[in-house]
Amino acid sequence: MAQTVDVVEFNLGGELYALDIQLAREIVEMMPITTIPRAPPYLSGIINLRGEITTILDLANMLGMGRKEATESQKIIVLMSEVAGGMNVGVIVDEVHSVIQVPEADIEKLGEGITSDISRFVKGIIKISPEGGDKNAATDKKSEGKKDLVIWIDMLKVMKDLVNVKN
Amino acid sequence: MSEEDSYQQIFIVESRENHEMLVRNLLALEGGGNAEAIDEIFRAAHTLKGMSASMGYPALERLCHAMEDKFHLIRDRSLAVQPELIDMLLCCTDRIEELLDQIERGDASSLQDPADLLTALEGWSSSRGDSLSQPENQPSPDLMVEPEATPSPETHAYQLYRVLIRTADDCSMKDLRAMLALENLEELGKIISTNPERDDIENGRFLREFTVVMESSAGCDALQMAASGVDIAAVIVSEETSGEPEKAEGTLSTSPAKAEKSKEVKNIRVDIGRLDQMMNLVEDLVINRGRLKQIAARNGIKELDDAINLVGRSISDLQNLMMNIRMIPLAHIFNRFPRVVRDVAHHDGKVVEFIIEGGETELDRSIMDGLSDPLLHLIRNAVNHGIELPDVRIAKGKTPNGIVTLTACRDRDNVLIEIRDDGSGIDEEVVRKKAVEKGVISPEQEASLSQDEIIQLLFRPGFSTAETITDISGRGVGLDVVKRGIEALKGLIQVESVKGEGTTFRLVLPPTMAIVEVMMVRINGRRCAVPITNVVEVAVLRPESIRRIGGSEVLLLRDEVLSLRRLEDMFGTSDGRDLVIVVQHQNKKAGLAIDAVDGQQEVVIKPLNNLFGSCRGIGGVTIPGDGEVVSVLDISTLL
Repeated sequence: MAQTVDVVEFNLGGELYALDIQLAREIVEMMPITTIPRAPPYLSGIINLRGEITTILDLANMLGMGRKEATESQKIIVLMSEVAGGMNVGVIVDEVHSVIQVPEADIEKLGEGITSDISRFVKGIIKISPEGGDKNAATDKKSEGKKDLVIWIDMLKVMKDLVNVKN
Repeated sequence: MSEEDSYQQIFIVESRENHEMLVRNLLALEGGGNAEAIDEIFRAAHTLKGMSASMGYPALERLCHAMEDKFHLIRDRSLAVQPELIDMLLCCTDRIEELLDQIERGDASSLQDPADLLTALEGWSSSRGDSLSQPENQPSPDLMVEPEATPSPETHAYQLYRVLIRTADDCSMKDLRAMLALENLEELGKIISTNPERDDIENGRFLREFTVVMESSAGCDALQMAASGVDIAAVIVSEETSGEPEKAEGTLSTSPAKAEKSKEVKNIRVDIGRLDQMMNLVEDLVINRGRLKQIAARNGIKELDDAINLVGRSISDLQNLMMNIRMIPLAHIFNRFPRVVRDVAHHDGKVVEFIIEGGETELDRSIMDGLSDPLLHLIRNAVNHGIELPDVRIAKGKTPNGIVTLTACRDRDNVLIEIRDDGSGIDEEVVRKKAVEKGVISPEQEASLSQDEIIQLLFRPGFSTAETITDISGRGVGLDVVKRGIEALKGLIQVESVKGEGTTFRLVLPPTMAIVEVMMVRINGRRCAVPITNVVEVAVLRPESIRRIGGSEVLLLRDEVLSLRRLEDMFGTSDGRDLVIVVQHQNKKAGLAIDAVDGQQEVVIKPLNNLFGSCRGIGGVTIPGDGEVVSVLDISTLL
């Protein structure tokens, strides 16, 4: 059996992204975020998640997309506390699509060919077929042209970078 | 946790206490301490020895035994107290600590026999040519008994005693305690009979008390002391003349011991982790009380209000109690310092008198934890950098021995700790020169520095004025680390120094961090909380009382001119600021323009996590009860 990875697929600024399902603790609806004066721009603020102080990251800002208006459909993906070294941290995303299982064969590593200013945060590019795409469809060579690209975010790296910046 | 584990834990905790007592009294002894000090030493060393023997740590036992021998000689005045001897004994206590550390880590099997120290200890007495003729070098079983009998053999002829020993109600190791007491008694004389049988006692098969009939020449007091110990609630010693116990004398000799021992019985040990858990629960309760109050206020049901008030009162009491439980006297960390001062002074060839005042002042445990290292550093500094060498001091017309004072006291809501030395003071010129040399400031900057700014240079990273790097101070850790440590505790550090007369470091600390009374205010429509300790007053903001000085605004409030802060960079601009709250930190005052005051309440302040770095002006966040997250202003960094 081919190696697969489970990821949460979400939309952010019109692009598709994914992060490892093991890193996500829960997905909650958007709620009022208390901004903290003089906080760095990539920090949206703090929410009270059932009594727990949870710091909210503006992922779009960190990925260089700039801040945009909050919308109804936005969600917060709360990360496992191990990801952020014991802190409660969540990231804002525009829309959460689904949890998908991707065969490793469908993951393209960022290499010499494709580079980006955020490539240090990218684990790879996942190629999936739209509409009911599963493992069988993904291997179907004919649907090559219709494949969607999902950017697989290295959330651990993102968090590690953040903590390093601060210390 | 297995029973054995819990025994071991108790052993470690108690042995550490005994170890600390040993060190403290050794220092007292060196400073010309009295008979009390040597008695305390005895008790500590003896308990330590007995406990290690029964727990099966022969290395520790042998070391304590050898030390005890020396203490015997000191008590009998056949061995003079010299600094070198104390040095060696302190070395031994260090080893005891190491051994305890090892046992605690669980590698008890690899305990090293302290052969080197044993030889050193033995060598000491023989090299000094003691007046005692005892074969010191071969510890024989009766060595323990003989010196014990020497102090006053004539006054007490052999006499029959009946000793009643009662263990504490909550005694967790009845058998062990009883065995220790019996062993201790046995050293003073011969046990004739016990009730119940000795085997039963040593296996814990007795209710709360047992009696021992014994023959001894040591006298009531000595027996009393020998049988007393941890978890022993009472010891009643009576002289047995005709086989019937004589109560009269018994009661006489117990009363002082009873008073002393009852202290121990009342204390229980609680794991610190559990205390923290409890504190978290109490914090949750406080938050939810706030929420309940708001719901009640919305619905206006009188019965509910009353009930909530009652619950609220209980929660307040619980909270206060919890705070008090977490408070421990500063003596806990202060007691370590005489040793440090002594070591540093010896190392540098200085003579330093160390005075501790206010060790009974209490602080929250969590603060105490963070305070220990900064204080240690400041005290080392005071001796190492502050106090001059004796001949230098004499040349300056000072007494040859320097004085370092460590004081603590409550100052309104804060705890004030001062470390004062009467040494050379901070030499501004040296500081200037060093700062330029190390590239902390540029030569141009140097010229324009005020005295205050020069002192602040000391707290810059990478700054140390020590001429040579010693192993005492100057290990690459500077005052900047001290400052950061204190600020992490929401404390403050100030320095005063007069060249040639000495330096004073003053630490101002909050007694507790967790729960704080705040004033809830609105600035530009956004809620924030201001700790009530910083609020001086709330006043109406009249446009006519505002004056502009260049880009900034000042406010004339009665006869006082205050700088007016609108905090626009934090909360955005707005016009409708009708009120001003006057806030104060230390002696800095300012007015903050606000929209409205929402009230006053107790909240739990949660620190911002370190992703935020240091947001100047923000001390943390809180959830006041309605579920919203509110930021708490930190006035100290705001002003």
